Amino acid sequence: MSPSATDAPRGYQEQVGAHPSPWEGIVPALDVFLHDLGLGIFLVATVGWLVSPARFAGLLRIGWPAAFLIVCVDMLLLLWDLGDWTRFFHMFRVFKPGTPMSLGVWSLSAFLGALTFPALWGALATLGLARAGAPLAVRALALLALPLAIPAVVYKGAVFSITSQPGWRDARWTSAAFGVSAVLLGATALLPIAAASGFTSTGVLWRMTAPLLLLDSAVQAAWEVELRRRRGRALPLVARVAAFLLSLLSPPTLLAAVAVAALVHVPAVYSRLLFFERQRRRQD
Amino acid sequence: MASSARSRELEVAALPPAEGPERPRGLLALVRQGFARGERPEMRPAVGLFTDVSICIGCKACEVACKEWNLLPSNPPEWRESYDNTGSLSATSWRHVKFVEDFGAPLPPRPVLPDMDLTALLAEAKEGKWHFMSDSCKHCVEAPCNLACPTGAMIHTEYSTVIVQPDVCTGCGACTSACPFGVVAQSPHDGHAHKCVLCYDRLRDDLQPACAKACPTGSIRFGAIEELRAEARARVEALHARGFGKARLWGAERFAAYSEAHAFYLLLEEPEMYGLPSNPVNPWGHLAGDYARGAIGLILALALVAGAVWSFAG
Repeated sequence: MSPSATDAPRGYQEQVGAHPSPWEGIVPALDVFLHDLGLGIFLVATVGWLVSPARFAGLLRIGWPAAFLIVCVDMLLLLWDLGDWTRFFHMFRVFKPGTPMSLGVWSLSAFLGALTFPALWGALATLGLARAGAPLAVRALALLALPLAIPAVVYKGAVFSITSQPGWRDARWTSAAFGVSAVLLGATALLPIAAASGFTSTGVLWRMTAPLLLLDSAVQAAWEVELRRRRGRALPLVARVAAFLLSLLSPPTLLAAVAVAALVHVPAVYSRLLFFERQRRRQD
Repeated sequence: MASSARSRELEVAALPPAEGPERPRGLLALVRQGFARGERPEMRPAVGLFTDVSICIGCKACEVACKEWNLLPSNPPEWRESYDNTGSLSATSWRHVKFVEDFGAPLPPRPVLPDMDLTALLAEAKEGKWHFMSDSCKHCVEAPCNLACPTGAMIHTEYSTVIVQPDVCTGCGACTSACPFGVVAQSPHDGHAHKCVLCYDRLRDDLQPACAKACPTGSIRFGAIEELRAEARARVEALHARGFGKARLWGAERFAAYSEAHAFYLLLEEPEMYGLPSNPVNPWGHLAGDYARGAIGLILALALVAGAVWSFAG
């Protein structure tokens, strides 16, 4: 075989960079969704309860078991996604807070450990097998779970952004976007539960979605602008097409588009929610 | 020197096989073994590899020696438009000889047998050249794979090289995603991460890595890292003096956003041509900022929740 010599010099320019990440398919996407949903439900319900115990006490009975179950399902998904799930316990050999995945495994495990009894109480109270007011020990454990939930939320974005993968490696706002999305998801997931159960927290939950949506839009915009600023080299075709489409929008127009979307969308959602709230009050 | 190295090889080969650790029996013993710590070995002088591409002949002896010593399976035959039929580093190819064709304009069609005139062919002006480069793990001083590993499977050894402890790896893929050079790869056979370990077992027996041992031209040189760096700098100067103006070292010194490597290269062209980034970036440089942005975003969102509840709950 002789050298074909069609291009000169024919080197490895296209191969500069990392191997593709083995995190592919639907499992990582489901993982992020369930992770944010479960932790978001816990955070919104617990913070709401701390500020207004009377309004949110009822929601805890459903919020805590739901958060616990959803995060457990997410952990099972993570286990399934490992190259060798039988070695999962090796994750507890070392604690490396500077390694997002290690921080995540430890904080999620500690969070689930602390939430076990509050979730159990919530499930029993919902079934009428335990008294409606949370016992002191349960409340203390839930308070312990609250600071553990913060690293458990923050690590997820860093797992993706602290890599050498094209696109992700430049996405500096991933952790913030996942964090705010978790709270927004939690609030919107609790809304139908609260509304269906007739809890007094429903109106408050409706009202908090608008500012959360605005904050989420702002972080998403920062995420996109940062990506646009940094991206450029050796991107796959799909990413290049996406970059081209995005290049049609300059950062100010992109921000303006997000702002207009939020300005149109948020009042529409908000007014609808207020309308439903008024209807509900009239029915009450 | 060569004869003493050879006699050491024979001496080691004649040693009785070392007894492996006792296999754990039962689930509890298996779990306990996972958490067991051996004694930390005494630190040894840092060693590494200096690969001089200017004298690489693309024979692939290093690839073969690596596969033989580390008992790696062969690659299925895959024909490309090149003599490179390895393609890239992988879980089963810890060495990869790259073939860069630098022939300028396309070659004119040549007569084939029986019309081929061998005398005329030999008299033809030599056009273009090959560039060969034997690639492997860079054994970075601040290795992203090591920083990414959540189980401690990826470690720096007493020789300052980076290895995977295969019995501890969970196959989470964090190291594969983190390595900016596409070195660490997950095996489809066992699900675990694999890469060059700089023949750790040979180092412990005072032998040089198999690739360096097999290299017939001395392109892959093994030794104490400081000695190798001095040797490499002298070689670059010699090449510059002989007209190879683009000759440069890659990985011998710290980059702007990446540590120095213990397996470094002397290149004759731009690093990208050999599949190496000119300015690699260690993703861990962003860790504090990403954690901070995540925490601030989350706390801000929770403050909004608390504020909304405070305002509307009465």
